[in-house]
Amino acid sequence: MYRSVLISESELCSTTDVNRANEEGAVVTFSGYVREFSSGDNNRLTLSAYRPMTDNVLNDLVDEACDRWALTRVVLKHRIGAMNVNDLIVFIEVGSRHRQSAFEACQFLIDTLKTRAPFWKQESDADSSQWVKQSETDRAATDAWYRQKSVD
Amino acid sequence: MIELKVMVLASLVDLVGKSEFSLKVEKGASVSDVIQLVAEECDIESGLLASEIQLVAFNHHRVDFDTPIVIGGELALMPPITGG
Repeated sequence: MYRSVLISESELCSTTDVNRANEEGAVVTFSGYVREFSSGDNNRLTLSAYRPMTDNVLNDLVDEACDRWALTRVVLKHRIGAMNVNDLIVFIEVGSRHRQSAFEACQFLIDTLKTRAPFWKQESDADSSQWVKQSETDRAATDAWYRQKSVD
Repeated sequence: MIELKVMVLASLVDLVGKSEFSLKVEKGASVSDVIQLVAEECDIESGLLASEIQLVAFNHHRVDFDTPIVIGGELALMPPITGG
């Protein structure tokens, strides 16, 4: 089992150099990018974190994914600091013997990371700046994973 | 009395007016009590401050609003998380 968790102020890369193990039949990746959020000039996104708690929470979420599914790899990278449109914010790569575990674990990680790992987004353009509000959809996506676990 | 380093994160800095400060509290005070003291210290309505806080951590571990604080350390006040 290969695992790696990284929070970086440097530009991220949406690839890994992890060799695929012979028993690894599926690898699923998720890449989240900065999108244009206003028609104003100079769209920027700044991500802040509360370290080392953020690092600990990401590692806890990876532990939880490994408890729920039989995984062969988990790579989780998250950018902090100031970013431009099209920059990579988050990259997740999950491997397992079969595709269902890899798909589910990858979705679990991005859903729960968005509401449980202490990161905050601030959008700005040439005219204004505002903190991004947590969305109801993101909260519901996280809650669904824990409702599902209690039913299981 | 015990001494806390209070960390204020992200959008809460706009409300509180500072990101980090020291605060002396009674040993055994709850997290809610500390939030009320922070509000008084920064001249904010305590209900407003509490309503903007989603997560509190003591020494980097999540705590509930009714958790008693019995040793000095770092208390972080955090608004709703928006990562990913």
